[in-house]
Amino acid sequence: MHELIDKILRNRNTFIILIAAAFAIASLIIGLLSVNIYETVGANTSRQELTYASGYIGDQIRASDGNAIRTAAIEGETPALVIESYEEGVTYETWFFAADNFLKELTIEKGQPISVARGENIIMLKTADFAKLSDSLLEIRLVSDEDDVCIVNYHVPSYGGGIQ
Amino acid sequence: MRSKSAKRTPTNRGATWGSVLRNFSFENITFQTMRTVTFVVASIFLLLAIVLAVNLFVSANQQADRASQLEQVISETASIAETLKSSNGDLGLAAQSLRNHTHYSLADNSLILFYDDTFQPSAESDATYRAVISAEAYPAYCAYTIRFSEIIAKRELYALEFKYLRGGGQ
Repeated sequence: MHELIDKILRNRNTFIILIAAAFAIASLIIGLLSVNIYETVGANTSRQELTYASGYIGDQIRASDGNAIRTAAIEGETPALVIESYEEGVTYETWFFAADNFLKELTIEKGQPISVARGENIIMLKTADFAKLSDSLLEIRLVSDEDDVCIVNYHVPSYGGGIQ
Repeated sequence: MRSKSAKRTPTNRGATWGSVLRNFSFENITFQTMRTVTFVVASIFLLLAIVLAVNLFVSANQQADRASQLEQVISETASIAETLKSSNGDLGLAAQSLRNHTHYSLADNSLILFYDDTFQPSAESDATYRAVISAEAYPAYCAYTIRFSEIIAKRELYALEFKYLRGGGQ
């Protein structure tokens, strides 16, 4: 043992090379793992945007408590989901749609004109599509900036009339 | 050089470690012994640090993969559960309502959906994951169980059990 260590210590080049090799190998492994983690986290962020967007819309559907829900198209081409609500005798409509790379939400009095330029930005989203599968089942198809796709179904209780 | 080094080492002279410890005295410690001990200790610390750092990163990598996997599993399970709620206990209707699933296995009280490694719906032959859904219908409600698992590893990732009033109630 002493002899081997003596040999290593006396030949400084060998010692330095050994230490450098250990650091290089460890750095390489850590670097590769870091890249992998970074990619996974990046993909997760994109997925999380979709999860958040679908969860947000789902929460609004549940909170609608049986109020009328329908699918629509703004200016004939942008798919939207419309949830009605009533306050002090006035009927309001909350529109959810994707425009300018954002999921947008806009609440207006029923009958008021709507355009995609209006609305509050909720979260980044490329497209959102809404389809009525039955009177009580809504399909939401969301596409993120990174082209990840999320298709989720939401149940709409039929006691409020379901999806119109 | 080798013989000089050997003379300074008790173990090289045929002494046992027990006798070395019994005869231990700070006066006997030579510069060379100190240097050797320092080198060994430093090397052990370096190796431990490297192993710990690599281990931490491997662990973080696994956690990130697992988090991503779990998030997708939960999202899919929630979507299946919402579909089941509107199917009123009819698994065939639920299977048709999950429009992106063109391949599924439907038996009396169970429905199996298949997913590839990116959690996209797939055929059974290409599937990495599967969701086994079972339903029990009672007069007033339906009881559902959804079990998401990895096919090859035979590892259950997530399970959800719930009951829902029949007829679209809350």
